[in-house]
Amino acid sequence: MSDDGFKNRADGVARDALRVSAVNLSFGGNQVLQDLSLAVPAGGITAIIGPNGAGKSTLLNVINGLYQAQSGQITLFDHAPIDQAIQTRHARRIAELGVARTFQNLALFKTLSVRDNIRAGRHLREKSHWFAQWLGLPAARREKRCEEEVVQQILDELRLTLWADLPVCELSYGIQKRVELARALAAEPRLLLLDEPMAGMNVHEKAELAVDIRQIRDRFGTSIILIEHDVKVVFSLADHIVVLDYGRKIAEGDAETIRQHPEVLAAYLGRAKREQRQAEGVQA
Amino acid sequence: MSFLCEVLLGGMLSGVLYALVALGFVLIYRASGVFNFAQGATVLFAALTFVSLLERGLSFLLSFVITLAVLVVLAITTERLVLRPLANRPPITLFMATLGLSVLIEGAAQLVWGTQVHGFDLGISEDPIFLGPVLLNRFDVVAAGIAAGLVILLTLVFGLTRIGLALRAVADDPQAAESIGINQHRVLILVWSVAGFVALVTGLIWGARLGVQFSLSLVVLKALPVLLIGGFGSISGAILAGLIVGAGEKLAEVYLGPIIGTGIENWFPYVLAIILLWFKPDGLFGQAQVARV
Repeated sequence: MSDDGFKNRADGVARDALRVSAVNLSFGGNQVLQDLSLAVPAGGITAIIGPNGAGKSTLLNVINGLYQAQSGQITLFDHAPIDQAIQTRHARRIAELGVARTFQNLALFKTLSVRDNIRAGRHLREKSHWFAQWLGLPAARREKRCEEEVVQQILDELRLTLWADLPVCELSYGIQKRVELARALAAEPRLLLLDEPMAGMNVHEKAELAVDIRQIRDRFGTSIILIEHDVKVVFSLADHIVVLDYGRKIAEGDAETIRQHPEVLAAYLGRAKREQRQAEGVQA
Repeated sequence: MSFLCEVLLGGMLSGVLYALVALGFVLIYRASGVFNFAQGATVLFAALTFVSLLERGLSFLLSFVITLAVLVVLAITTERLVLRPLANRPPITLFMATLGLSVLIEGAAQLVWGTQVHGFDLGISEDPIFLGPVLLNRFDVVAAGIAAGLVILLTLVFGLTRIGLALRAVADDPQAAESIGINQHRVLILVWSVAGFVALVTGLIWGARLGVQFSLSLVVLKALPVLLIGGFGSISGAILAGLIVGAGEKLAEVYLGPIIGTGIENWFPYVLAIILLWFKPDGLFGQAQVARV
Protein backbone atom coordinates (compact mmCIF):
# COMPACT_ATOMS: atom_id res chain seq x y z
CA MET A 1 0.00 0.00 0.00
CA SER A 2 1.42 3.41 -0.87
CA ASP A 3 1.69 5.34 2.39
CA ASP A 4 2.14 8.74 0.76
CA GLY A 5 -0.89 9.11 -1.46
CA PHE A 6 -3.06 7.72 1.23
CA LYS A 7 -1.77 9.96 4.00
CA ASN A 8 -1.94 13.11 1.91
CA ARG A 9 -5.63 12.66 1.37
CA ALA A 10 -6.26 12.12 5.05
CA ASP A 11 -4.28 15.25 5.89
CA GLY A 12 -6.58 17.32 3.70
CA VAL A 13 -8.54 20.37 4.81
CA ALA A 14 -11.21 18.45 6.71
CA ARG A 15 -10.70 18.87 10.48
CA ASP A 16 -13.45 16.42 11.23
CA ALA A 17 -13.62 13.16 9.35
CA LEU A 18 -17.30 12.89 10.19
CA ARG A 19 -20.01 15.06 11.63
CA VAL A 20 -23.34 13.58 12.67
CA SER A 21 -25.99 16.25 13.25
CA ALA A 22 -29.35 15.68 14.96
CA VAL A 23 -29.86 12.19 13.57
CA ASN A 24 -33.06 10.38 14.50
CA LEU A 25 -33.91 6.80 13.63
CA SER A 26 -36.72 4.59 14.83
CA PHE A 27 -37.84 1.11 13.88
CA GLY A 28 -41.59 0.96 14.38
CA GLY A 29 -42.19 2.61 17.74
CA ASN A 30 -38.66 1.95 18.97
CA GLN A 31 -36.49 5.08 18.89
CA VAL A 32 -32.98 3.69 18.24
CA LEU A 33 -31.11 6.97 17.71
CA GLN A 34 -32.37 10.12 19.42
CA ASP A 35 -31.31 13.52 18.17
CA LEU A 36 -27.75 12.27 18.00
CA SER A 37 -24.92 14.66 17.17
CA LEU A 38 -21.21 13.95 17.30
CA ALA A 39 -17.96 14.77 15.55
CA VAL A 40 -15.11 12.41 14.72
CA PRO A 41 -11.74 14.20 14.49
CA ALA A 42 -9.73 13.39 11.36
CA GLY A 43 -6.75 11.09 11.80
CA GLY A 44 -7.73 9.80 15.23
CA ILE A 45 -9.34 6.79 16.84
CA THR A 46 -12.83 7.50 18.15
CA ALA A 47 -14.44 4.78 20.22
CA ILE A 48 -18.17 4.45 20.60
CA ILE A 49 -19.16 2.58 23.72
CA GLY A 50 -22.35 1.87 25.58
CA PRO A 51 -24.47 -0.98 26.89
CA ASN A 52 -26.08 -3.49 24.53
CA GLY A 53 -28.89 -1.89 22.57
CA ALA A 54 -27.41 1.60 22.93
CA GLY A 55 -27.51 2.08 19.16
CA LYS A 56 -23.77 1.76 18.40
CA SER A 57 -23.99 -0.61 15.43
CA THR A 58 -27.10 1.18 14.19
CA LEU A 59 -25.13 4.42 14.12
CA LEU A 60 -22.42 2.73 12.05
CA ASN A 61 -25.08 1.43 9.67
CA VAL A 62 -26.41 4.96 9.25
CA ILE A 63 -22.93 6.40 8.63
CA ASN A 64 -22.22 3.57 6.17
CA GLY A 65 -25.50 4.15 4.32
CA LEU A 66 -27.02 0.75 5.04
CA TYR A 67 -29.74 2.42 7.13
CA GLN A 68 -31.42 5.68 6.30
CA ALA A 69 -32.25 7.87 9.28
CA GLN A 70 -35.58 9.70 9.36
CA SER A 71 -33.94 13.09 9.93
CA GLY A 72 -30.56 14.71 10.48
CA GLN A 73 -27.39 15.16 8.49
CA ILE A 74 -24.17 13.23 7.98
CA THR A 75 -21.12 15.13 6.76
CA LEU A 76 -18.06 13.23 5.59
CA PHE A 77 -14.74 15.12 5.38
CA ASP A 78 -15.19 18.22 3.26
CA HIS A 79 -18.08 16.84 1.21
CA ALA A 80 -21.54 18.37 1.18
CA PRO A 81 -23.78 17.17 4.05
CA ILE A 82 -25.90 14.12 3.27
CA ASP A 83 -29.45 14.95 4.29
CA GLN A 84 -30.89 11.76 5.76
CA ALA A 85 -34.51 12.69 5.10
CA ILE A 86 -33.82 13.13 1.37
CA GLN A 87 -31.15 10.59 0.48
CA THR A 88 -32.03 6.98 -0.01
CA ARG A 89 -29.78 4.22 1.28
CA HIS A 90 -26.45 4.51 -0.46
CA ALA A 91 -23.73 2.24 0.95
CA ARG A 92 -21.93 2.12 -2.40
CA ARG A 93 -21.73 5.92 -2.69
CA ILE A 94 -20.45 6.21 0.88
CA ALA A 95 -17.74 3.67 -0.02
CA GLU A 96 -16.80 5.86 -2.97
CA LEU A 97 -16.29 8.78 -0.55
CA GLY A 98 -13.63 6.74 1.26
CA VAL A 99 -15.48 4.87 4.00
CA ALA A 100 -14.83 1.18 4.65
CA ARG A 101 -16.11 -0.97 7.44
CA THR A 102 -16.24 -4.30 9.23
CA PHE A 103 -19.46 -5.77 10.58
CA GLN A 104 -20.52 -6.90 14.05
CA ASN A 105 -21.65 -10.22 12.58
CA LEU A 106 -19.08 -11.24 9.99
CA ALA A 107 -19.97 -10.26 6.45
CA LEU A 108 -17.24 -11.96 4.43
CA PHE A 109 -17.45 -13.54 1.00
CA LYS A 110 -17.37 -17.03 2.42
CA THR A 111 -16.77 -19.01 -0.74
CA LEU A 112 -13.79 -16.83 -1.70
CA SER A 113 -10.26 -17.29 -0.42
CA VAL A 114 -8.68 -14.83 2.00
CA ARG A 115 -6.67 -13.36 -0.88
CA ASP A 116 -9.76 -12.93 -3.06
CA ASN A 117 -11.68 -11.29 -0.21
CA ILE A 118 -8.91 -8.70 0.06
CA ARG A 119 -8.79 -8.34 -3.74
CA ALA A 120 -12.54 -7.72 -3.70
CA GLY A 121 -11.89 -4.94 -1.19
CA ARG A 122 -9.78 -3.23 -3.91
CA HIS A 123 -12.83 -2.98 -6.19
CA LEU A 124 -13.00 0.83 -6.14
CA ARG A 125 -9.23 1.13 -6.58
CA GLU A 126 -9.18 -0.76 -9.90
CA LYS A 127 -9.19 1.67 -12.78
CA SER A 128 -8.67 -0.45 -15.89
CA HIS A 129 -11.71 -1.58 -17.83
CA TRP A 130 -12.69 -5.24 -17.54
CA PHE A 131 -12.24 -5.62 -21.29
CA ALA A 132 -8.62 -4.43 -20.99
CA GLN A 133 -8.14 -6.90 -18.14
CA TRP A 134 -9.55 -9.68 -20.28
CA LEU A 135 -7.29 -8.79 -23.20
CA GLY A 136 -4.34 -8.52 -20.82
CA LEU A 137 -3.33 -5.06 -22.09
CA PRO A 138 -0.05 -3.71 -20.62
CA ALA A 139 -1.71 -1.05 -18.42
CA ALA A 140 -4.16 -3.62 -17.03
CA ARG A 141 -1.31 -6.07 -16.40
CA ARG A 142 0.70 -3.39 -14.60
CA GLU A 143 -2.29 -2.54 -12.46
CA LYS A 144 -2.84 -6.19 -11.65
CA ARG A 145 0.79 -6.64 -10.58
CA CYS A 146 0.49 -3.57 -8.36
CA GLU A 147 -2.78 -4.89 -6.89
CA GLU A 148 -1.17 -8.24 -6.11
CA GLU A 149 1.67 -6.47 -4.27
CA VAL A 150 -0.77 -4.44 -2.18
CA VAL A 151 -2.80 -7.53 -1.33
CA GLN A 152 0.34 -9.45 -0.35
CA GLN A 153 1.48 -6.56 1.84
CA ILE A 154 -1.85 -6.51 3.68
CA LEU A 155 -1.69 -10.30 4.07
CA ASP A 156 1.78 -10.00 5.60
CA GLU A 157 0.94 -7.09 7.88
CA LEU A 158 -2.17 -8.71 9.29
CA ARG A 159 -0.44 -12.11 9.57
CA LEU A 160 -2.80 -13.82 7.15
CA THR A 161 -0.31 -15.19 4.60
CA LEU A 162 -0.55 -18.71 6.02
CA TRP A 163 -4.24 -18.90 5.11
CA ALA A 164 -4.12 -16.71 1.99
CA ASP A 165 -5.48 -19.30 -0.43
CA LEU A 166 -7.99 -21.02 1.85
CA PRO A 167 -11.72 -20.27 1.63
CA VAL A 168 -12.61 -18.05 4.56
CA CYS A 169 -15.43 -20.34 5.64
CA GLU A 170 -12.78 -22.86 6.75
CA LEU A 171 -11.06 -20.44 9.13
CA SER A 172 -11.61 -19.73 12.81
CA TYR A 173 -13.78 -16.79 13.91
CA GLY A 174 -10.81 -14.76 15.12
CA ILE A 175 -8.97 -15.11 11.79
CA GLN A 176 -12.13 -14.28 9.86
CA LYS A 177 -12.37 -11.06 11.88
CA ARG A 178 -8.83 -10.17 10.75
CA VAL A 179 -9.73 -10.98 7.12
CA GLU A 180 -12.64 -8.57 7.35
CA LEU A 181 -10.31 -5.86 8.64
CA ALA A 182 -7.87 -6.67 5.81
CA ARG A 183 -10.65 -6.36 3.22
CA ALA A 184 -11.68 -2.98 4.62
CA LEU A 185 -8.07 -1.82 4.65
CA ALA A 186 -7.60 -2.87 1.02
CA ALA A 187 -9.93 -0.03 -0.01
CA GLU A 188 -7.40 2.46 1.45
CA PRO A 189 -10.21 4.20 3.35
CA ARG A 190 -10.09 7.69 4.81
CA LEU A 191 -12.58 6.63 7.46
CA LEU A 192 -12.59 3.08 8.82
CA LEU A 193 -15.59 1.81 10.78
CA LEU A 194 -14.75 -1.16 13.01
CA ASP A 195 -17.71 -2.87 14.62
CA GLU A 196 -16.43 -5.07 17.45
CA PRO A 197 -13.31 -6.20 15.56
CA MET A 198 -12.01 -8.03 18.64
CA ALA A 199 -15.10 -10.09 19.40
CA GLY A 200 -14.21 -13.74 19.89
CA MET A 201 -10.48 -13.06 20.32
CA ASN A 202 -8.32 -14.02 23.27
CA VAL A 203 -6.26 -11.48 25.24
CA HIS A 204 -3.13 -12.06 23.15
CA GLU A 205 -5.00 -11.67 19.83
CA LYS A 206 -6.71 -8.51 21.13
CA ALA A 207 -3.35 -6.99 22.04
CA GLU A 208 -1.98 -7.77 18.57
CA LEU A 209 -5.01 -6.28 16.85
CA ALA A 210 -4.82 -3.17 19.02
CA VAL A 211 -1.26 -2.65 17.75
CA ASP A 212 -2.50 -3.14 14.17
CA ILE A 213 -5.27 -0.56 14.59
CA ARG A 214 -2.88 1.96 16.05
CA GLN A 215 -0.47 1.36 13.16
CA ILE A 216 -3.23 1.89 10.60
CA ARG A 217 -3.93 5.29 12.13
CA ASP A 218 -0.26 6.27 12.45
CA ARG A 219 0.96 5.07 9.03
CA PHE A 220 -1.96 6.03 6.84
CA GLY A 221 -3.59 8.82 8.82
CA THR A 222 -6.85 6.91 8.64
CA SER A 223 -9.64 8.15 10.87
CA ILE A 224 -11.10 5.22 12.78
CA ILE A 225 -14.40 4.68 14.57
CA LEU A 226 -14.20 1.71 16.89
CA ILE A 227 -17.04 -0.08 18.64
CA GLU A 228 -15.66 -2.34 21.33
CA HIS A 229 -17.04 -3.84 24.53
CA ASP A 230 -13.66 -4.34 26.20
CA VAL A 231 -13.42 -1.00 28.02
CA LYS A 232 -9.78 -1.63 28.92
CA VAL A 233 -8.87 -1.86 25.22
CA VAL A 234 -10.97 1.21 24.44
CA PHE A 235 -9.30 3.35 27.09
CA SER A 236 -5.83 2.34 25.92
CA LEU A 237 -6.55 2.80 22.20
CA ALA A 238 -8.99 5.65 21.70
CA ASP A 239 -8.12 9.33 21.38
CA HIS A 240 -11.75 10.27 21.75
CA ILE A 241 -14.66 8.36 23.28
CA VAL A 242 -18.40 8.80 22.73
CA VAL A 243 -20.81 7.05 25.09
CA LEU A 244 -24.31 6.13 23.96
CA ASP A 245 -27.22 4.88 26.00
CA TYR A 246 -30.68 4.16 24.58
CA GLY A 247 -29.73 5.94 21.36
CA ARG A 248 -28.66 9.15 23.13
CA LYS A 249 -25.19 10.55 23.56
CA ILE A 250 -24.58 10.75 27.30
CA ALA A 251 -20.91 11.72 27.25
CA GLU A 252 -17.86 12.34 25.10
CA GLY A 253 -14.23 13.18 25.70
CA ASP A 254 -10.92 11.51 26.42
CA ALA A 255 -10.49 8.38 28.54
CA GLU A 256 -10.03 10.27 31.80
CA THR A 257 -13.18 12.38 31.28
CA ILE A 258 -15.24 9.31 30.45
CA ARG A 259 -13.95 7.32 33.44
CA GLN A 260 -15.27 9.92 35.85
CA HIS A 261 -18.42 10.98 34.02
CA PRO A 262 -21.41 10.50 36.37
CA GLU A 263 -23.89 9.53 33.64
CA VAL A 264 -21.48 6.94 32.24
CA LEU A 265 -20.97 5.47 35.68
CA ALA A 266 -24.72 5.42 36.21
CA ALA A 267 -25.33 3.72 32.85
CA TYR A 268 -22.70 1.06 33.40
CA LEU A 269 -23.13 0.55 37.15
CA GLY A 270 -26.89 0.73 36.77
CA ARG A 271 -26.73 -2.02 34.21
CA ALA A 272 -24.41 -4.06 36.44
CA LYS A 273 -26.84 -3.70 39.35
CA ARG A 274 -29.80 -4.66 37.19
CA GLU A 275 -27.93 -7.74 35.94
CA GLN A 276 -26.92 -8.66 39.47
CA ARG A 277 -30.54 -8.38 40.66
CA GLN A 278 -31.71 -10.48 37.71
CA ALA A 279 -29.09 -13.14 38.51
CA GLU A 280 -30.20 -13.20 42.14
CA GLY A 281 -33.81 -13.48 41.02
CA VAL A 282 -32.99 -16.48 38.83
CA GLN A 283 -31.11 -18.19 41.67
CA ALA A 284 -33.96 -17.55 44.08
CA MET B 1 -14.85 -51.14 -29.94
CA SER B 2 -15.32 -48.43 -32.59
CA PHE B 3 -19.10 -48.68 -32.01
CA LEU B 4 -18.61 -48.07 -28.28
CA CYS B 5 -16.40 -45.06 -29.10
CA GLU B 6 -19.05 -43.82 -31.50
CA VAL B 7 -21.78 -44.03 -28.87
CA LEU B 8 -19.55 -42.48 -26.23
CA LEU B 9 -18.38 -39.57 -28.41
CA GLY B 10 -21.87 -38.97 -29.83
CA GLY B 11 -23.18 -38.85 -26.28
CA MET B 12 -20.47 -36.48 -25.14
CA LEU B 13 -21.18 -34.13 -28.03
CA SER B 14 -24.83 -33.99 -26.94
CA GLY B 15 -23.53 -33.53 -23.43
CA VAL B 16 -21.74 -30.32 -24.40
CA LEU B 17 -25.13 -28.95 -25.43
CA TYR B 18 -26.60 -29.97 -22.07
CA ALA B 19 -23.70 -28.18 -20.41
CA LEU B 20 -24.59 -25.08 -22.45
CA VAL B 21 -28.18 -25.17 -21.16
CA ALA B 22 -26.90 -25.68 -17.61
CA LEU B 23 -24.43 -22.79 -17.98
CA GLY B 24 -27.29 -20.26 -18.09
CA PHE B 25 -28.53 -21.58 -14.75
CA VAL B 26 -25.06 -21.69 -13.21
CA LEU B 27 -24.29 -18.04 -14.06
CA ILE B 28 -27.42 -16.76 -12.38
CA TYR B 29 -27.07 -19.11 -9.42
CA ARG B 30 -23.49 -17.96 -8.85
CA ALA B 31 -24.43 -14.29 -8.83
CA SER B 32 -27.71 -14.33 -6.98
CA GLY B 33 -28.13 -17.77 -5.43
CA VAL B 34 -31.36 -18.13 -7.41
CA PHE B 35 -32.33 -21.23 -9.33
CA ASN B 36 -33.79 -19.40 -12.32
CA PHE B 37 -36.63 -21.58 -13.51
CA ALA B 38 -37.30 -19.01 -16.27
CA GLN B 39 -34.06 -19.92 -18.10
CA GLY B 40 -35.94 -22.48 -20.24
CA ALA B 41 -38.60 -19.90 -21.14
CA THR B 42 -35.81 -17.43 -21.95
CA VAL B 43 -34.31 -19.97 -24.38
CA LEU B 44 -37.70 -20.18 -26.12
CA PHE B 45 -38.23 -16.42 -26.03
CA ALA B 46 -34.76 -15.74 -27.48
CA ALA B 47 -35.13 -18.30 -30.27
CA LEU B 48 -38.63 -17.07 -31.16
CA THR B 49 -37.53 -13.42 -31.25
CA PHE B 50 -34.56 -14.29 -33.44
CA VAL B 51 -36.55 -16.46 -35.88
CA SER B 52 -39.36 -13.92 -36.15
CA LEU B 53 -36.86 -11.20 -37.07
CA LEU B 54 -35.21 -13.54 -39.57
CA GLU B 55 -38.61 -14.34 -41.11
CA ARG B 56 -39.21 -10.59 -41.56
CA GLY B 57 -36.21 -10.46 -43.86
CA LEU B 58 -33.53 -9.17 -41.46
CA SER B 59 -30.01 -10.55 -41.81
CA PHE B 60 -28.66 -13.19 -39.42
CA LEU B 61 -26.30 -10.73 -37.74
CA LEU B 62 -28.88 -7.96 -37.34
CA SER B 63 -31.45 -10.42 -35.97
CA PHE B 64 -28.84 -11.69 -33.52
CA VAL B 65 -27.90 -8.20 -32.33
CA ILE B 66 -31.52 -7.04 -31.96
CA THR B 67 -32.43 -10.22 -30.06
CA LEU B 68 -29.48 -9.66 -27.77
CA ALA B 69 -30.66 -6.09 -27.12
CA VAL B 70 -34.15 -7.40 -26.30
CA LEU B 71 -32.62 -9.89 -23.85
CA VAL B 72 -30.66 -7.09 -22.13
CA VAL B 73 -33.94 -5.15 -21.74
CA LEU B 74 -35.50 -8.32 -20.30
CA ALA B 75 -32.57 -8.60 -17.85
CA ILE B 76 -32.96 -4.97 -16.75
CA THR B 77 -36.73 -5.40 -16.33
CA THR B 78 -36.26 -8.60 -14.33
CA GLU B 79 -33.71 -6.94 -12.04
CA ARG B 80 -35.91 -3.89 -11.46
CA LEU B 81 -39.29 -5.59 -11.10
CA VAL B 82 -38.45 -9.00 -9.65
CA LEU B 83 -35.00 -9.20 -8.06
CA ARG B 84 -34.74 -5.76 -6.46
CA PRO B 85 -38.13 -5.81 -4.68
CA LEU B 86 -37.43 -9.36 -3.46
CA ALA B 87 -33.88 -8.70 -2.23
CA ASN B 88 -33.06 -10.46 1.07
CA ARG B 89 -36.09 -12.77 0.74
CA PRO B 90 -35.62 -16.53 1.21
CA PRO B 91 -34.38 -18.47 -1.87
CA ILE B 92 -37.73 -20.27 -2.18
CA THR B 93 -39.49 -16.90 -2.69
CA LEU B 94 -37.10 -16.01 -5.51
CA PHE B 95 -37.48 -19.47 -7.01
CA MET B 96 -41.26 -19.08 -7.05
CA ALA B 97 -40.84 -15.64 -8.60
CA THR B 98 -38.77 -17.12 -11.45
CA LEU B 99 -41.46 -19.78 -11.87
CA GLY B 100 -43.98 -16.98 -12.33
CA LEU B 101 -41.57 -15.18 -14.65
CA SER B 102 -41.29 -18.33 -16.73
CA VAL B 103 -45.07 -18.50 -17.21
CA LEU B 104 -45.15 -14.77 -18.00
CA ILE B 105 -42.40 -14.99 -20.65
CA GLU B 106 -43.99 -18.04 -22.29
CA GLY B 107 -47.39 -16.34 -22.27
CA ALA B 108 -45.95 -13.16 -23.80
CA ALA B 109 -44.13 -15.19 -26.46
CA GLN B 110 -47.35 -17.02 -27.32
CA LEU B 111 -49.26 -13.74 -27.49
CA VAL B 112 -46.76 -12.09 -29.84
CA TRP B 113 -45.66 -14.95 -32.07
CA GLY B 114 -48.44 -17.52 -31.83
CA THR B 115 -47.97 -21.23 -31.21
CA GLN B 116 -46.90 -22.55 -34.61
CA VAL B 117 -43.55 -24.29 -35.08
CA HIS B 118 -40.94 -22.16 -36.85
CA GLY B 119 -38.53 -24.06 -39.08
CA PHE B 120 -35.00 -22.76 -38.83
CA ASP B 121 -31.75 -23.72 -40.51
CA LEU B 122 -28.36 -22.73 -39.12
CA GLY B 123 -26.73 -23.84 -42.37
CA ILE B 124 -24.89 -26.74 -40.77
CA SER B 125 -25.45 -30.05 -42.53
CA GLU B 126 -26.24 -33.25 -40.66
CA ASP B 127 -23.88 -35.25 -42.91
CA PRO B 128 -21.79 -37.86 -41.16
CA ILE B 129 -18.10 -37.22 -40.73
CA PHE B 130 -15.40 -39.71 -39.81
CA LEU B 131 -13.01 -39.22 -36.93
CA GLY B 132 -10.71 -42.16 -37.69
CA PRO B 133 -12.98 -45.17 -37.60
CA VAL B 134 -15.62 -43.32 -35.56
CA LEU B 135 -18.68 -41.94 -37.35
CA LEU B 136 -20.10 -38.66 -36.03
CA ASN B 137 -22.87 -36.24 -36.96
CA ARG B 138 -21.42 -33.00 -38.41
CA PHE B 139 -24.12 -30.85 -36.75
CA ASP B 140 -23.29 -32.34 -33.35
CA VAL B 141 -19.59 -31.61 -33.83
CA VAL B 142 -20.11 -27.99 -34.94
CA ALA B 143 -22.73 -27.34 -32.22
CA ALA B 144 -20.43 -28.82 -29.57
CA GLY B 145 -17.60 -26.62 -30.91
CA ILE B 146 -19.76 -23.48 -30.60
CA ALA B 147 -20.88 -24.47 -27.10
CA ALA B 148 -17.33 -25.28 -25.99
CA GLY B 149 -16.11 -21.94 -27.41
CA LEU B 150 -18.78 -20.07 -25.49
CA VAL B 151 -17.96 -21.89 -22.26
CA ILE B 152 -14.25 -21.09 -22.66
CA LEU B 153 -15.02 -17.45 -23.47
CA LEU B 154 -17.16 -17.00 -20.38
CA THR B 155 -14.72 -18.85 -18.16
CA LEU B 156 -11.96 -16.48 -19.30
CA VAL B 157 -14.11 -13.38 -18.84
CA PHE B 158 -15.08 -14.36 -15.32
CA GLY B 159 -11.64 -15.75 -14.45
CA LEU B 160 -9.42 -12.95 -15.75
CA THR B 161 -11.45 -9.85 -14.98
CA ARG B 162 -12.85 -8.24 -11.86
CA ILE B 163 -16.36 -9.15 -13.03
CA GLY B 164 -15.98 -12.75 -11.84
CA LEU B 165 -14.88 -11.63 -8.38
CA ALA B 166 -17.68 -9.06 -8.14
CA LEU B 167 -20.17 -11.70 -9.22
CA ARG B 168 -19.13 -14.11 -6.47
CA ALA B 169 -18.97 -11.33 -3.90
CA VAL B 170 -22.55 -10.28 -4.67
CA ALA B 171 -23.68 -13.91 -4.48
CA ASP B 172 -22.03 -14.42 -1.08
CA ASP B 173 -23.13 -11.21 0.63
CA PRO B 174 -24.88 -8.45 -1.35
CA GLN B 175 -24.81 -6.00 1.56
CA ALA B 176 -21.07 -6.41 2.13
CA ALA B 177 -20.50 -6.16 -1.64
CA GLU B 178 -22.31 -2.80 -1.71
CA SER B 179 -20.23 -1.66 1.26
CA ILE B 180 -17.01 -2.15 -0.71
CA GLY B 181 -18.41 -0.28 -3.68
CA ILE B 182 -19.69 -3.10 -5.90
CA ASN B 183 -22.88 -2.12 -7.70
CA GLN B 184 -24.94 -5.26 -7.13
CA HIS B 185 -27.73 -4.11 -9.44
CA ARG B 186 -25.30 -3.68 -12.31
CA VAL B 187 -23.70 -7.06 -11.61
CA LEU B 188 -27.12 -8.76 -11.62
CA ILE B 189 -28.14 -7.06 -14.87
CA LEU B 190 -24.85 -8.11 -16.44
CA VAL B 191 -25.19 -11.71 -15.34
CA TRP B 192 -28.84 -11.99 -16.42
CA SER B 193 -27.86 -10.45 -19.78
CA VAL B 194 -25.02 -12.96 -20.23
CA ALA B 195 -27.42 -15.76 -19.26
CA GLY B 196 -29.75 -14.33 -21.93
CA PHE B 197 -26.91 -14.51 -24.46
CA VAL B 198 -26.29 -18.14 -23.48
CA ALA B 199 -30.05 -18.77 -23.82
CA LEU B 200 -29.98 -17.29 -27.33
CA VAL B 201 -27.11 -19.53 -28.47
CA THR B 202 -28.82 -22.52 -26.82
CA GLY B 203 -32.13 -21.64 -28.49
CA LEU B 204 -30.51 -21.36 -31.91
CA ILE B 205 -28.71 -24.70 -31.68
CA TRP B 206 -31.64 -26.60 -30.18
CA GLY B 207 -34.11 -24.72 -32.41
CA ALA B 208 -32.17 -25.68 -35.54
CA ARG B 209 -32.41 -29.31 -34.48
CA LEU B 210 -35.97 -29.52 -33.12
CA GLY B 211 -37.64 -26.49 -34.72
CA VAL B 212 -38.42 -23.35 -32.72
CA GLN B 213 -41.49 -24.38 -30.75
CA PHE B 214 -42.84 -24.25 -27.22
CA SER B 215 -41.34 -27.57 -26.19
CA LEU B 216 -37.99 -25.75 -26.41
CA SER B 217 -38.60 -24.34 -22.93
CA LEU B 218 -38.43 -27.93 -21.66
CA VAL B 219 -34.67 -27.99 -22.23
CA VAL B 220 -34.66 -27.04 -18.56
CA LEU B 221 -35.37 -30.73 -17.87
CA LYS B 222 -32.11 -31.63 -19.60
CA ALA B 223 -30.20 -29.13 -17.48
CA LEU B 224 -31.51 -30.29 -14.10
CA PRO B 225 -29.54 -33.57 -13.80
CA VAL B 226 -26.46 -31.77 -15.13
CA LEU B 227 -26.78 -29.16 -12.38
CA LEU B 228 -27.41 -31.78 -9.70
CA ILE B 229 -24.34 -33.76 -10.74
CA GLY B 230 -22.01 -30.82 -11.38
CA GLY B 231 -23.07 -28.63 -8.47
CA PHE B 232 -25.28 -25.59 -8.97
CA GLY B 233 -22.60 -22.91 -8.86
CA SER B 234 -19.76 -24.44 -10.85
CA ILE B 235 -19.01 -23.80 -14.54
CA SER B 236 -16.45 -26.66 -14.61
CA GLY B 237 -19.01 -28.85 -12.86
CA ALA B 238 -21.61 -28.06 -15.53
CA ILE B 239 -19.18 -29.00 -18.31
CA LEU B 240 -18.09 -32.28 -16.73
CA ALA B 241 -21.62 -33.21 -15.70
CA GLY B 242 -22.90 -32.39 -19.19
CA LEU B 243 -20.38 -34.84 -20.64
CA ILE B 244 -21.28 -37.50 -18.03
CA VAL B 245 -25.01 -37.09 -18.65
CA GLY B 246 -24.63 -37.08 -22.45
CA ALA B 247 -22.40 -40.13 -22.51
CA GLY B 248 -24.42 -41.90 -19.79
CA GLU B 249 -27.77 -41.50 -21.49
CA LYS B 250 -26.48 -42.68 -24.88
CA LEU B 251 -24.75 -45.71 -23.38
CA ALA B 252 -27.91 -46.53 -21.41
CA GLU B 253 -30.04 -46.11 -24.52
CA VAL B 254 -27.85 -48.45 -26.58
CA TYR B 255 -26.95 -51.09 -24.02
CA LEU B 256 -29.81 -51.00 -21.47
CA GLY B 257 -32.59 -49.84 -23.80
CA PRO B 258 -33.14 -53.24 -25.44
CA ILE B 259 -33.48 -54.85 -21.96
CA ILE B 260 -35.49 -52.20 -20.06
CA GLY B 261 -37.36 -50.50 -22.89
CA THR B 262 -37.16 -47.38 -25.04
CA GLY B 263 -37.19 -43.82 -23.69
CA ILE B 264 -34.54 -44.65 -21.10
CA GLU B 265 -32.48 -41.60 -22.15
CA ASN B 266 -35.18 -39.31 -20.72
CA TRP B 267 -34.96 -40.58 -17.15
CA PHE B 268 -31.55 -42.24 -16.91
CA PRO B 269 -29.70 -38.93 -16.20
CA TYR B 270 -31.94 -38.45 -13.14
CA VAL B 271 -31.01 -41.92 -11.89
CA LEU B 272 -27.35 -41.00 -12.33
CA ALA B 273 -27.94 -37.76 -10.42
CA ILE B 274 -29.71 -39.50 -7.52
CA ILE B 275 -26.95 -42.11 -7.19
CA LEU B 276 -24.29 -39.39 -7.17
CA LEU B 277 -26.19 -37.34 -4.59
CA TRP B 278 -25.96 -40.27 -2.16
CA PHE B 279 -22.19 -39.78 -2.13
CA LYS B 280 -21.80 -36.09 -3.01
CA PRO B 281 -24.86 -34.16 -1.79
CA ASP B 282 -23.51 -30.89 -3.19
CA GLY B 283 -22.59 -32.34 -6.58
CA LEU B 284 -19.11 -33.00 -7.95
CA PHE B 285 -17.95 -29.37 -7.78
CA GLY B 286 -20.56 -27.87 -5.46
CA GLN B 287 -19.47 -25.97 -2.39
CA ALA B 288 -20.51 -27.68 0.83
CA GLN B 289 -22.81 -25.43 2.88
CA VAL B 290 -21.15 -24.33 6.09
CA ALA B 291 -23.29 -22.61 8.70
CA ARG B 292 -22.64 -21.45 12.26
CA VAL B 293 -25.34 -23.03 14.44
